[in-house]
Amino acid sequence: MSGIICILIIIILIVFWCVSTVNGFRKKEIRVQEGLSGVEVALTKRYDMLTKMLDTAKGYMKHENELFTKVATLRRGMSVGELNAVKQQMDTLSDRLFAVAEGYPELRSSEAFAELQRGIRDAEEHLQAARRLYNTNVTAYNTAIAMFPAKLLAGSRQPKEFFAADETKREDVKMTF
Amino acid sequence: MEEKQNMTNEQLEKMLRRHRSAATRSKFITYAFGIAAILLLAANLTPIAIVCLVLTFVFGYQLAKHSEALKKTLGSNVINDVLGEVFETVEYNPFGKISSISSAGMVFPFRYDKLRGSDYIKATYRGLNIELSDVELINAEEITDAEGNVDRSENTVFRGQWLICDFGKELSGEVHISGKSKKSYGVSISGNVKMENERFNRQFFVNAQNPQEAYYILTPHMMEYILTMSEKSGGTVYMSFLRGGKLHIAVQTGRDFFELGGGKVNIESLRNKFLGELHWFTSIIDELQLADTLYKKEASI
Repeated sequence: MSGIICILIIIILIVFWCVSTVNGFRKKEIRVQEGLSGVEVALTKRYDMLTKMLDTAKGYMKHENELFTKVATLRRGMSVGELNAVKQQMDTLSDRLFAVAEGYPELRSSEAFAELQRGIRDAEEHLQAARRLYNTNVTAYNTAIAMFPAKLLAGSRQPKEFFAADETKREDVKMTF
Repeated sequence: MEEKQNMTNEQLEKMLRRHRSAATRSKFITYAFGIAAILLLAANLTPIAIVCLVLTFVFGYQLAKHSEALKKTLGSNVINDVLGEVFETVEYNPFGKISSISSAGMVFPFRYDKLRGSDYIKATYRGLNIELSDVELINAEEITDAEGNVDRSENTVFRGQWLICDFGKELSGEVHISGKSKKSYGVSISGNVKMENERFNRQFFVNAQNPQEAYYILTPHMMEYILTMSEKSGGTVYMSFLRGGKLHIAVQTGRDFFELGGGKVNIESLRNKFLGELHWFTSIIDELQLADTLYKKEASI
């Protein structure tokens, strides 16, 4: 009798562990999705600020048509790789824009430009935070599905993609005008 | 505040020593008469006990008077000069403390009912408004037994310094950072945000309404800086970044700032000691302002 009770207890414990492990996977997956949507929001904010900056700059830079045609496209539901690519396009665009703005002192001294510059800096900082949070959540998820014995319950779950580390990213918020 | 007197360092040292000796003497006699009064009461020698009790109050008053004189002399002749060197504008009250209005919003991982304090400083540092004070947080407890007797006790849950300053950024939520302490004071604490820095996670709990804002504030550099400063302080560090753009930092040093202490009185050593005590806090503000663009008020990049 006591043997049956022991087996029952072991079965209950195993079931409990399975349920909590699978729920743990799900929680971590949700956190990854939340992190990704945070990145999308931050990227959209940066995109909006850059678009406004380009609109402001247009009035001053009549001869820089090439600059204004290279606008990155951002849409909902993009993969991490696509978001990374958009981010890199934005980096290039903002680098180019600020480099070109060097030759337009009137633009650099305008109040609107200074305001947008502050906005871009803030958007950059939020994007950086969102990317770090996403990567931390991905690390937790990937570790959880890779560890034995929890790995046995991971099923078809695949490791999530990280945002590419970009240590020089903070540099473009320290722009000198 | 007592007027600053024109004294040489030697005269000032002599005066401080005199006040300190008088305060120590009064303290010793007060305790001696207090203990004697209790023992005499226990021995049913009530009239002599009453005399001892009266003397306890007399010397207790003397103790308070000498301690106040010591603090005022120290404040007007040493501390004010030190504060003037560090801050742009400054008001110092040796008997003041952070108000309950200013202290609202700070989150500690323990309960407290009373706030006592001293050495209150209201100043401007690098264009930022700051308030700093020695603080003692007390948790008062009432235990009622089965017979309805109420036993009241007071327990100091925090003793150290508390800084409040502007940090120039408004958050949509709040971010609280608590150093992990061995004493839990009966309150279970845990963080809801894990940072990517494992060493930081081992030493601090982070709580935030929006985890992204915790990452926004706690850049990798800032986490390393907080770890370093926490080690230097030798006590538990608590930080709260509030929605209105205020930053609270409390450090459980277990002692008060701007104290004369025992040993030889040397004005230059005292000045250096007080400057060092202030430096811990001002260097944090420097770091917040300069090392990270996040904390810059304006776009003067």
